[in-house]
Amino acid sequence: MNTISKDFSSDWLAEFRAGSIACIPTVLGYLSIGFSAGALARVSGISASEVGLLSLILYAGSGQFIVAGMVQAKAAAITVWLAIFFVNLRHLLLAAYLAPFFKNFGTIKNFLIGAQLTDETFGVASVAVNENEGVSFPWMLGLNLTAYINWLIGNVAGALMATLIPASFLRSLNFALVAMFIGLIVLQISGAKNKRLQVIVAVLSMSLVGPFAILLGSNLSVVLTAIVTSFIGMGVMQWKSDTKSS
Amino acid sequence: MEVRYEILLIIVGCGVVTLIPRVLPLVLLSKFRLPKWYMDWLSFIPVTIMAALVAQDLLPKDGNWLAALPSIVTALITLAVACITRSLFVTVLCGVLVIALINYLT
Repeated sequence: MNTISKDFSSDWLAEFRAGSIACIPTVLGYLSIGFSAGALARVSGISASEVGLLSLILYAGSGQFIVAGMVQAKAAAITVWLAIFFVNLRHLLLAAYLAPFFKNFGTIKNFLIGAQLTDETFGVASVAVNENEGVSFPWMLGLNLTAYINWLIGNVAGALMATLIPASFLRSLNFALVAMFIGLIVLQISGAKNKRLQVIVAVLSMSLVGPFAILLGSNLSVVLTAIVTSFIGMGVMQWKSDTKSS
Repeated sequence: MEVRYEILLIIVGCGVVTLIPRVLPLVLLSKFRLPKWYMDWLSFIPVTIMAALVAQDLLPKDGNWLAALPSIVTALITLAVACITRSLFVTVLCGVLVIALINYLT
């Protein structure tokens, strides 16, 4: 019995560590964007301890920038909630994508994974589940907790040192996020079976998000662009397999 | 170092409305067997959502393409680096260094 539980716990730790290590490429992005989000919140009149709470409870980059802007504009609480709800609606898609891979985890573990879902950790996890046909719960926990801690550190540091770092340097650092998504898209496509279609759909998505933002506002455009272009990709897949079989 | 009640209210509310879309699909969908068309549709979600996020970040919001040019050029270089190295870490590092260099020179 003893050896079994020992093996189990060392396995658990190894998986947890592997998940934390997978998070490393996102750390620069978390620290720099977190720093900007914290600094911006601070100059918008949110105190450093409130920034800490914001990063722990909301834990969403674009959302926190919007909260800062709306608090500064003295917006009513309910309008802030509504704005954040629409901005963060895209998590529905992220969580829906990961759900089939975590079928055997049970409700509590799925809840814990979902509560810490972000664009960045989703990007890393979606590449990993494709490569390994799933990942373990401690792996996800390692990834998520590492990201969460880095986000908190970035936010609080930004709030405390809001005026010390030149804005131009911060702007350069913020590009880490875009660079990471570009890298994740390449990894995701190179692991897919239908590479050419994935590339076409990605280009389509990039060209539609602007027009959709004009129609619906930038809050909803990312979600809707992803839904529509994925439908187009799915349609092409079905049509291709139909023509092949008939 | 104070936490004001109205700010706390805003923060907690935002946390709740974000928690719902984060958790709901994971808790509910993991219980069902899902149809093939839905899984096919889902297989495009990572790429389409990340591409949309990148485009939203890069494209000028006010039609000022000249101001957006450094980021767009850097993004193309970053894309090339990502395709060649297939390393997330090298990609992020190169992207930040290139944009810092461009910002420094211009």
